[in-house]
Amino acid sequence: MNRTCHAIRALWLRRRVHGAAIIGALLLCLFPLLTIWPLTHGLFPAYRLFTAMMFGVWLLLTLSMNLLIGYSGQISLGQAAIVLIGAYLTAILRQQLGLPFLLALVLAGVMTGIIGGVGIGQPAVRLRGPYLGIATFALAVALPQVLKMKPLLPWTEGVRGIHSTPLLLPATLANLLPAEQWRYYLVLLVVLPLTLAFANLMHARLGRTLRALREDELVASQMGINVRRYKTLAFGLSAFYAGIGGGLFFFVQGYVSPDSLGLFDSILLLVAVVIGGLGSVAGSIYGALFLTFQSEVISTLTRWLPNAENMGSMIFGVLLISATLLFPQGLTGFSRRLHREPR
Amino acid sequence: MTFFLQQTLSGIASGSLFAMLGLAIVLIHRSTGVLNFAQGEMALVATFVAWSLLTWSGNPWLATVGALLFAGLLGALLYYWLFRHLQRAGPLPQVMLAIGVYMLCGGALLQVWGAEPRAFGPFPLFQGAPFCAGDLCLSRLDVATLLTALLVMALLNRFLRHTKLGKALRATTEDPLVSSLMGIPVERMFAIGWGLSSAVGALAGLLAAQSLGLDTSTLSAVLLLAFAGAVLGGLESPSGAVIGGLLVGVLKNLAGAYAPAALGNLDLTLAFLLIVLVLLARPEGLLGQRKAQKV
Repeated sequence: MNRTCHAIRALWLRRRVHGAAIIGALLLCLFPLLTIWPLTHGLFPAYRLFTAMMFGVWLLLTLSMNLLIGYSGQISLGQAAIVLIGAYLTAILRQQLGLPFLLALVLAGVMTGIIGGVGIGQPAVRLRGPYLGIATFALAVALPQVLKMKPLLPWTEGVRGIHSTPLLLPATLANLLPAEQWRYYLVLLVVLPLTLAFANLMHARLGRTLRALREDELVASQMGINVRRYKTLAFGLSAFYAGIGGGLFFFVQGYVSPDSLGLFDSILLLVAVVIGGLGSVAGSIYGALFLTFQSEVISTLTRWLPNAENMGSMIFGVLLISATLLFPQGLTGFSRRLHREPR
Repeated sequence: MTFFLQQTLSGIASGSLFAMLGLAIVLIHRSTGVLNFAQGEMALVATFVAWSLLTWSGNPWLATVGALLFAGLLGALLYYWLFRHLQRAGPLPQVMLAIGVYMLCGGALLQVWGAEPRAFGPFPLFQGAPFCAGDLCLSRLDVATLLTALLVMALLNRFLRHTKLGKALRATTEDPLVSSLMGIPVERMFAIGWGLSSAVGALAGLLAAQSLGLDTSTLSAVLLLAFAGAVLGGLESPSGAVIGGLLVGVLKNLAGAYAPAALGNLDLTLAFLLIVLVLLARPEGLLGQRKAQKV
């Protein structure tokens, strides 16, 4: 009982709150106003709301990836498959069963978390390194085929995928703000608390335990850490974040199909987390920024370089190689080195 | 029955490609401890070099030898430039580095050779009537691929067990520090391991491109299943890679042939499901040995 209270308190009480985090959160709350206000409208056209929502989605996904790779030291090559599961569960609960969006999202997140914790966390107790990599890889390869299976067609609608219906708002709310802005605030309402909770959890007992497991499983188990329980918890929590992220992905994109997210996205998530910084929330934020703007930057490059689309993967390759060789701590480590902040 | 045997045979035929690429993966893992996700793309670069040589000279032997030499050099250089710096960093950063090389090679392929498919082979040696026994048939290329895989496996086994260089390679993997104290040039050993594995991978690429056609995604499916096969075999011995690769080929083919059509296409799913089940029962793979953990 005492432990449960402790865990719940750890979600909300943070020992040190950065000023930057508060300012950032405020800015995010006011962001839709910037797209309307005449002075800043030129700088932030309305489609930036979509960009901002996608940033929120990517943030949840980089957090879920970082939880595995950065904090717990587990390899996952199939994270995009977990995200796809979350997106499909949300889509099925909302479109086929008619649940309200937030309820569908939470249910889908919890179900994805259970699938991840039991389905991957349990095998992960036995499988190590490359073997775990192959098992998660297998999931990523198999999932599109499973989603296209004929008996599942009434639920998944096969290759066509599932389209989302617009959000139904009460008239009073709908008159207050345009629908797109309500969508933005809904995403913010989900992403912001989850990010804060993540930061706090990783500073609390859970985060310390996971890092102990990452450093040395054998020593950790000698210290009385239940390896099976904590690995299940790590994979479950990561899958929960991925599932919620997937549900929001469906909500923001308005559409999900078996090929919406594939192996390449799993790898891209990995790249983003490594470039941003392993084992830190700030690193996940940098990683999410990278994922949000990468395609835009590359299509801007095409204006100067004729073949820049092909160079996308070359650029990512060079970024990943230089990040692993030169900045093992990613951008966070780089900025830490600049500020000489003691660790 | 004939149907079953024919399906098994063609499974063995496609499995021998997985076995070849799996040999390269096992060799590099065995001699440097790296899980090389870039193996397929590196092999593909070498295959495209072979294509260029072939269109330039028209001589398949020149193209093959040239591509193998190029691949060996590429592997050794990648080691000296990149992987050497992370030797002691543990598996995760090395996997990231391999994925970086994978993306770099993929991008370079598109940049240099472009995305359109190319005609490549089959070499004159492999053309002609298929070998048949009763109703069961195998094309010459398939037979050649299987024989090459078996030959390379035998050579690698012999090399690793019975030559001085092979023993030095194994010693270096076992303990780099002690090996360097024994006078083994550790970095050169690792470079040789990389070069050799890259050349074996290129051989797989050359054979795969002749049966699957050559474009920038020729090897992506092959790589997936080669990995599965190598891991299934235990990532330890060349024989394990070949047995695992052939097994994956047969499983995938049989799953594709016998899964009820009402379910849709499930060959990859069933193959991988079986692999995961095998791994859960034997986490070190079929031929791998359980290692006691050092404390």
